[in-house]
Amino acid sequence: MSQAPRVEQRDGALWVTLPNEEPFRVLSWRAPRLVLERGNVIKSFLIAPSADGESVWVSHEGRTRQHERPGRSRASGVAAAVAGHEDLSSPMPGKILQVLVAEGQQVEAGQRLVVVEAMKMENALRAPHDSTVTKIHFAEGDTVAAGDCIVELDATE
Amino acid sequence: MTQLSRVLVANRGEIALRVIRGVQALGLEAVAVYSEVDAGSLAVQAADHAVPIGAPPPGESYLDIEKVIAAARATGADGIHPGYGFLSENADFAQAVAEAGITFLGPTPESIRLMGDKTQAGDQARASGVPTVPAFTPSPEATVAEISAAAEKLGTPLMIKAAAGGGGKGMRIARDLAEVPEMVEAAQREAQTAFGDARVFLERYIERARHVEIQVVGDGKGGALTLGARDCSLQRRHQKLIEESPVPAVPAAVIQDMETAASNLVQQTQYRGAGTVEFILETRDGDSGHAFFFLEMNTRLQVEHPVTELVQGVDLVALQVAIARGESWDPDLEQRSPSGHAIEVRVYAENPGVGFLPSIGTLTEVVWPQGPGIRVDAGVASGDEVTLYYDPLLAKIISYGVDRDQAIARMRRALAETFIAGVETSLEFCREILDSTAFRSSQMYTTLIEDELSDWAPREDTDAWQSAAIEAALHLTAGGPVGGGPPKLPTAWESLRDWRHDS
Repeated sequence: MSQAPRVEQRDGALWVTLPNEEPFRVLSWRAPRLVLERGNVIKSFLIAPSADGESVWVSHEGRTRQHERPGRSRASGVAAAVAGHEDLSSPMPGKILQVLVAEGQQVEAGQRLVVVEAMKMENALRAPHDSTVTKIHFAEGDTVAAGDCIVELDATE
Repeated sequence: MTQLSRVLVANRGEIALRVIRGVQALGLEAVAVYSEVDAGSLAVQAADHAVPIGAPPPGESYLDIEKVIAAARATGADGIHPGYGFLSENADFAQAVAEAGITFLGPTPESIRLMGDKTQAGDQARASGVPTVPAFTPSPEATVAEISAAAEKLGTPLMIKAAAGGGGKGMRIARDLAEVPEMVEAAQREAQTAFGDARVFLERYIERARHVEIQVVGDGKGGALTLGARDCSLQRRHQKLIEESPVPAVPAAVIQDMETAASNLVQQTQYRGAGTVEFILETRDGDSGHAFFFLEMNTRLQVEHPVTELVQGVDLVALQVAIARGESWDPDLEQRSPSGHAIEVRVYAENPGVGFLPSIGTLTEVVWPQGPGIRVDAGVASGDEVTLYYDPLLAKIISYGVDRDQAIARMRRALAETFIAGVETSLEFCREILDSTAFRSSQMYTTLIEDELSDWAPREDTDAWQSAAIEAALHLTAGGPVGGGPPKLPTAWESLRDWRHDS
């Protein structure tokens, strides 16, 4: 039998099967209330997706946890519109404090590119992959708005 | 009597909504003001009129005195309620409102100025017979004998602090009078090096302090009403987390003395409106030694006012309206004793597992608790965006019971029913505090959280049920929310450790 967890429709109900566990039945689902049943024990949970769809929030008896959706790219804020090309944009308004790289420069995954100040915090923008910096749209001291593309990268091998 | 028919609420979030509801319940109209990100807020939806007042940063909207007064003029508001925070303790604002011919639902500019100045407030407190924390500033030429004599008068333990700075530099605690002269010298040297200013002062160090505050109302003519006490000892970096009323495990006579002191202060300053006199209460071993000292007076409605409302059976906003109209309170209130017990838990959009850093995002789902003895003052609902522009207080959950045990049990149930999806919150952390022995046995004190819970982290245990729920959740919400919001901080971003966090 498959070792991966699965959720499937069976006999008019939704069943959740985990490896080495008796299956759970979804007794009811009326967003945000989920009730699971197994062997006449029921437990209810409150669930909701995150705004960007990349994770789910699951709560039981007041304990709430966020869980990443597996297999989805964790690099939200990175638009991979063209193969290998990435636009790194600012999620909130701020000011460019430092530009640490130059156009044409090769950078490594994790390397800091730009430091932005927003809401009294300093945030460093890092290269998601080994890449070449193709364009830098702002200079030190510039103000950025939410959604502005700051750096464009072309992934290298 | 002063006419009051339309009140502008110069605030946002949960307190704006609470005040709007309060004035509407009295048959008055409410005017909301909102920054660009608050246009869809609960407070705006509840108001009768709403005026946009600018960009999200408070300095461009909620703190802009001219814009607020212009909004009042544009809507014909004859009263302004400042809420708490923002302009509520800004004497210039109170002045500008009065000069605009609008009734300010708060104290006079003079009272705000007086209590806003720590030195003046302390002087006034002492003049009204209210004790302040014993302190002494030695002159630079003070001899060892003079310092020792002063220290003996203050009593131990004693804190020796640099006058110029903070951050613990130049700060020492002397538990024995014999240690004092040497510690003063060392502190002076350290202060000189750190701040270029060798001045230090001595202050009685209150150990295991409880923060106890008295709700007061003044009629502006020397009349004073005290409405019981609240315990707000559970704080993190001076930010209150859990409050309750009445104050547990303190003799009634001590509370009575505090109420008398607070009442004297109100009478002698002819204070007008609602306010809170805050004290620090010393608890030594057992229940002997309940000395209390004046901390400060807040000349506004406080965040935690609901616990007073529930045990005293009053509506403080209604009282503020009455005072603003030139009326006085129901004389019956002067005789009333508290009934039952109320506890408030503040819901902050903060991540306790990561140093209480503010948490931002879109609230894709919000479920508040309901049921007997539960009151929720919430500023947010499903779909709202939590940003970094404002204080991260999302809501207050308040429980009421016939006694403290019932209030605690009801609060536990309420917290178990609460669900906020989209940001991390302080809820689970507060639940653990409520379950702690210290809280159950009323052994709270102001540094308890820092002393014993500073490395708290949410539990990692996941059982089969939880795993199954996660799988079901992933499957059932695969379509994502309708009309999502802007992405949370993407992983390409790394927040550097240089957080500057307003507390």
